Amino acid sequence: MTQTSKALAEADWDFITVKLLAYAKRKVFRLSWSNAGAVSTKAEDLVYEAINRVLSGERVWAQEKHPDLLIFLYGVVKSIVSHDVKSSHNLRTEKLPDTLERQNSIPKVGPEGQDYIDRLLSSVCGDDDLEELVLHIASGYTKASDLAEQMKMPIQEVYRLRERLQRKIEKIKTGSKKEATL
Amino acid sequence: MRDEQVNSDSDTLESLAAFLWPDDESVEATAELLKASGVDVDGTVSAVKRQVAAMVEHNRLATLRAARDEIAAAKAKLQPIPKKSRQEMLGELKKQGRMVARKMNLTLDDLSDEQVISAYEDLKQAEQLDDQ
Repeated sequence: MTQTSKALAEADWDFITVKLLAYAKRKVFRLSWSNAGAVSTKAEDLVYEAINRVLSGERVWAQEKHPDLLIFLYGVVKSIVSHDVKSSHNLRTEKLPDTLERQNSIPKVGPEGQDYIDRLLSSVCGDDDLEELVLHIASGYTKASDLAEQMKMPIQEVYRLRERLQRKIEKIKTGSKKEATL
Repeated sequence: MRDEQVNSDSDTLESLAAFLWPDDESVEATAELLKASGVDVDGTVSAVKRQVAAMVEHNRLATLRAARDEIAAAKAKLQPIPKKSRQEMLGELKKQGRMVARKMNLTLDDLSDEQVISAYEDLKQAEQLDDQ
């Protein structure tokens, strides 16, 4: 067994899988609302695919260069997502001439993303705490401890708000899927 | 103006994602947040562990296959062992200090002709393999 195989066999896969799922979820969330609209893949599938590529040797983990396996796997997930987005974007623009838009294939948030943010703001409208939370997040605060300080409330309350916000987002997502199938 | 709007929305989505599924929480807390978003954490962890176990097994079998092939290749290179008399073979076995008969509670002289030939061939093959 090579040193890399041994390190892979002995890695803490509970830790790595959960952290990688969170990373993939952030990527999917961000990109599923971008103008590309290309990422329909689930975080679970992305993680499974990324780990499979490393275990099978399709993506070679050079330990000397990337000692942290998790960080290396972040890169693999990122490259899978980028490839999917570019493929989808190229499919949609293949009949277009080489415009600046085609060259800039990394998606930015377009109308769908703006619509999503608008819908999110509408959904929290009237709920003072959630509204304030979203505004602070939009200002760049992402850590629960910072938000607790900003909102002058115990961190446990921020955790509760996070659960409520997640439920709102799930509702928006479900609503979007229903609209898409109509 | 348009670019500012685009970047602002992009940053908001990044920030939202970072707040909802942060990377600085404990594994347990992160798993709970993911589950609340409908992510199949336990199923994914199990699937990954099965993948890793399959890789370990694959590598183990590959190592065994490589070792077996190496031994087979070495054996293929063995020279024929010259025929000798029982006394000559016993002499060499004794000279080498091989206690071939020990596990059978016999002395070398008590071995049958077939046992002497077998022990002698084993000895000679081992010497050739050592040389290789």
